[in-house]
Amino acid sequence: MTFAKRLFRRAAGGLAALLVASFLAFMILEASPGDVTDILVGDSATQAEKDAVRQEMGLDRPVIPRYFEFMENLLLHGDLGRSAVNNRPVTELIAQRFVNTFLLAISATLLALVVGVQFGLHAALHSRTWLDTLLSVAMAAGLSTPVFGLAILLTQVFSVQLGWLPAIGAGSIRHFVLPVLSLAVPTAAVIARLTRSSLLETLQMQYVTTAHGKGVPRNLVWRRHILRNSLVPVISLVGVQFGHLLAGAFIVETIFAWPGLGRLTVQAIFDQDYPVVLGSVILAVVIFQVLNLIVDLIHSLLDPRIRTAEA
Amino acid sequence: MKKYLWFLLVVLILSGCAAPLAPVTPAPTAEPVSEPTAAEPTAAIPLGGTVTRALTSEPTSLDPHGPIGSGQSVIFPFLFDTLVYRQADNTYHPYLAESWTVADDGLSVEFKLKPGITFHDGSPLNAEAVQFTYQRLMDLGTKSPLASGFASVAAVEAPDDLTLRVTFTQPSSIFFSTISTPYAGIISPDAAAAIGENFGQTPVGSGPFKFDTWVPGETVTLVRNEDYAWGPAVLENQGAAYLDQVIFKIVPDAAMQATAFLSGEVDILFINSPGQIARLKEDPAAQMIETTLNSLIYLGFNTQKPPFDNVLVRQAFAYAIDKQELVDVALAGTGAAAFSPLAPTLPGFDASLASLERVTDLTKAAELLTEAGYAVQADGSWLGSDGQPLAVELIISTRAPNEALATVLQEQLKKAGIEVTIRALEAAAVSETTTAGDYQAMLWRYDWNDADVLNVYLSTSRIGRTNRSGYSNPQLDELLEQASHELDQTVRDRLYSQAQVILIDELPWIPLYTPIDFIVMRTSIEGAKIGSMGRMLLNEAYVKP
Amino acid sequence: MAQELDSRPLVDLLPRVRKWADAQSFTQRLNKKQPFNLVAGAGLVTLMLLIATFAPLLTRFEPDTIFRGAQLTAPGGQFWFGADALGRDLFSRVAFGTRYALGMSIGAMLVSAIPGILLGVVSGYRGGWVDNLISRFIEVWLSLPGLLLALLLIARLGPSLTTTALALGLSGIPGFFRVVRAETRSLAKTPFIEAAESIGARKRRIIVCHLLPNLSSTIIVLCSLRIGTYLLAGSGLSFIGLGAQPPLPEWGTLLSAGKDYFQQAWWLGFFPGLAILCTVLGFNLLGDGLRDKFCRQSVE
Repeated sequence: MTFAKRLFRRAAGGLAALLVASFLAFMILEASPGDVTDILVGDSATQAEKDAVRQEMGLDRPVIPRYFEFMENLLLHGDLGRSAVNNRPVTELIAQRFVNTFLLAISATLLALVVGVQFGLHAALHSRTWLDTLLSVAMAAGLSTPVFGLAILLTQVFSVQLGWLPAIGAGSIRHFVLPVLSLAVPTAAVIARLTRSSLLETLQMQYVTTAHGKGVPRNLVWRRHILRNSLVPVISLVGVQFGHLLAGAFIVETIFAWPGLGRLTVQAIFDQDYPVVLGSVILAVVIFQVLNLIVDLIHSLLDPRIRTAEA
Repeated sequence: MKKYLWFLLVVLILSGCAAPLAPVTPAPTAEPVSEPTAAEPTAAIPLGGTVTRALTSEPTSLDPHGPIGSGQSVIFPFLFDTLVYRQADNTYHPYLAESWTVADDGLSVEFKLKPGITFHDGSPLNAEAVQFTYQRLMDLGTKSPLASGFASVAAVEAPDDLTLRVTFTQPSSIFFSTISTPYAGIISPDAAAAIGENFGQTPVGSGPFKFDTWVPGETVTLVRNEDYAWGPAVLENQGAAYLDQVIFKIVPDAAMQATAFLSGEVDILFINSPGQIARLKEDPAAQMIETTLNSLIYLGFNTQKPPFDNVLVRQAFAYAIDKQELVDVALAGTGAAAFSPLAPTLPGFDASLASLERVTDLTKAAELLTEAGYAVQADGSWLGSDGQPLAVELIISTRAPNEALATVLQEQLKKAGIEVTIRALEAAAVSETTTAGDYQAMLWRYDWNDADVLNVYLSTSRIGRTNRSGYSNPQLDELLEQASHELDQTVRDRLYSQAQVILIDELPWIPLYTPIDFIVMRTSIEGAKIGSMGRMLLNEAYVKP
Repeated sequence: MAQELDSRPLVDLLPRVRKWADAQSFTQRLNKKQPFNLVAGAGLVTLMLLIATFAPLLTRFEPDTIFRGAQLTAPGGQFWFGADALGRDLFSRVAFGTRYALGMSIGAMLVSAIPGILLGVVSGYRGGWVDNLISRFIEVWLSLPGLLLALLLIARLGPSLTTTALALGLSGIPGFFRVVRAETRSLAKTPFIEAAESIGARKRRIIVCHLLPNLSSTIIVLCSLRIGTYLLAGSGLSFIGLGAQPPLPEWGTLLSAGKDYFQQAWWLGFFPGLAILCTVLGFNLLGDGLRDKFCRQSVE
């Protein structure tokens, strides 16, 4: 299968996923109690008055035509509509928030990658020593730490007690430190674990022994055989983790008042702000597909077997 | 030294209000703040500086005629001015209107506007602009939170540039409280026409601060309006504010707001949870300013469903509940036990009715339940004549401190042999469930600026909307209807007093307590004032160097 | 192998999971030591299960009883973990909370595991159009990434502990499916399955008698790791108010209530946080340990 064909297949798959995901989201929201009119009209409105507002917003029409209209606008005009709550264009809303979340997630992922690979490497190199045990315990603990607890602890220590770093908001490099740390700890733990076991696996491989045996310089064996092979699964994992951070950082975003996509989505879900929810769902789907593609590409660069299988 | 004097004053006021059932007339919180300011020579006031306030929820729109929400209502008073100013003690003072006259029959009011007022865009704020604003508000119909206040308005006219005449179909006693709310701020007609439906994102008013930027999800920034010269009459400084900027930071988590205060990122926040109050009280950099939102927390019953369709059961519950203990345990004392369905700070509240309060008495509760047809069982529980045990589901919204309240109530009622299960729902779901009448008992909080709240929540005509109790009493309806058109405050008070007697007797709600809410402000900020409904004025505020 | 990578690189992690597990067990064989993680994990998990079962016997007070005047009492002789803002015994709240924590996470695990395993075995073994159909269905399922599906379900059903378990469980089905399918496919090619087929065993019999027992090690490992993941996610949702609702003494809600009192009463946040950490750690270590142990057997 050629690369172009694969790209095409993935794009088709992505489009299908997009259609299904947005439809699912639409239907689940539709079945939820209440709707956006609860927020728009006051507490004292009668049902009739609420209905009038619903009618004005077109919410009284059946869900299927509304969904089709939405998809038509999206696919033909690239228009995600306007927020039902604040009337801002959805594209503008999610674009701003996405940048914030992206910066947070990419920083956390990079930090986790650097720290995680280092930890994993040292654990594997010193396997069966006290250092390995220590690092393994640290990884297990990092993996089991509730991020929200960690986040609160960090703000107490670094913002309230020491006064070194801001606890809330975004806007400067210093604002990144605490949320990034909170997100990076469990991610680093996952990466470290995989790096360690992947390295240990590679070290046992015949080709490594062979390479050493035929006198290939030590650092070349490491560069060309050991690291290259053991990092393939790590790259996959980093891709997955990055995706999770993009889609699942809303707890950390809520705690640190970070103006990210996660918080926007959660708020929109509970406000029943369909256009915004759908906008974020679609963005998430697209991100996931793109990430898959990127990971795939890196894979084929690192692993010749994949390239040869294509031929 | 001055700071300590100030503290002493506030502490005195606070302790006065914290005493149960005591505050007949509210402590005008604005006054102690103004005293040190007045003593300060004006020349010593440092100009400039920035003050940051935490907001729990992001405004949906900064158009005062948009949807309601706590986020925007905090910001409106800085951006927009109202015709009249309402002080914390619920008295009215000149603001954009320098004077007004109410016709003898109460069917019209004529306002005289101050001359020379301009909007932030430079256009004049004249009677026509006010007329435009009010008309825009009325055109919204029920989407406006002020709909009921404008319901009896027949016409709004501008006979000349500085005169505004409002005529009514029948006298309205809630008109002034309506036009003094932040949602009745005057907007620039030119800007509204030019900006169109995005007015809410770039609002133009005439207030002491101008809109600068809004970073969605993060901050709303306002800057000083240099031309300002029409502050409310209660202020020393009716001219431009001293501060350069006011920033509103959106911090959804209440605990993180307190954290941000402690770490110096936020200067002002509103708190109502005992945990945060306890946390910030210790901080020497925090002034705790008590605010009154004219609030009441009550246990509301569905009077159309068993067991609370029986007034005896409702009364039995009142005897089983110990309100003071509730306040002490669940709120660590940050509230005052209530006996009346009206908040003590609302005009119309009758303190003399305290004698009608049912003092906790489990024997009396048992007698009433027996009278209602329940039979006490060996384990102390109650069995109804229909063979059903007396067990109640209490609906609460997940907001603090409801959980604590419900838990304590559950415990108290258990002692009386009444089993209570707690069902916590999202605020929107609570509203929906209870409006549909699909519940037995609920915890509810109102923040209202007029005694008309009883009309909104308990009159027969509002069943199926705001009258969630399904309570219907023609005699009460009559009293409340009369009171909403009565302009003579003495007569109006008497009507509300009668209404309170009925409600204390029939108990569609058991009033539990009036909360003590605080605005926490950094001690370096001086000269801030708190108006009615927790509205904050920073016209005279400055940051001590 | 390459085929797998070709179509779904992210999915392909899981066969690899087995491979690194092999490697790990290999080093451990060299090691000749008892796997520390298995012992520690099993110990922690057993401890938590015991606490959950015997909570009423372990605690001196009911979790909801309010002690007047005991508000914010520090940990000590009477209240081992201190008392909360209402004067309730934190130890009994945390102890009873074990039931909710385990109930929620094990419940969510079951919701993921049962359909995930069944679909995975059928899909992996039958192959062909069945496999294709089920795989497409799961892909659709996955198109709502991460916690988004869970959040939508919570919005639909209203936040509660049951909703959380259900929502987390449902959004986790694909994870189980993928591992089980991949494992089944590699198992199906092994001689003993071919042998069973050649003597004419029925497909259902092969699935029940041969495939599932041989998958059990993988499944158990996965379940154990998943319980930890769900516990973290569920308590996180409760922490921001989208999970268990107070006054239920779920650990996330307890921690959330405790954060208000960080300065005055550190114990309110510390103990629930510690409980979460220990339980998740227990399940993670147990999962790792089991993986090492089972794989050793399979290698030998």
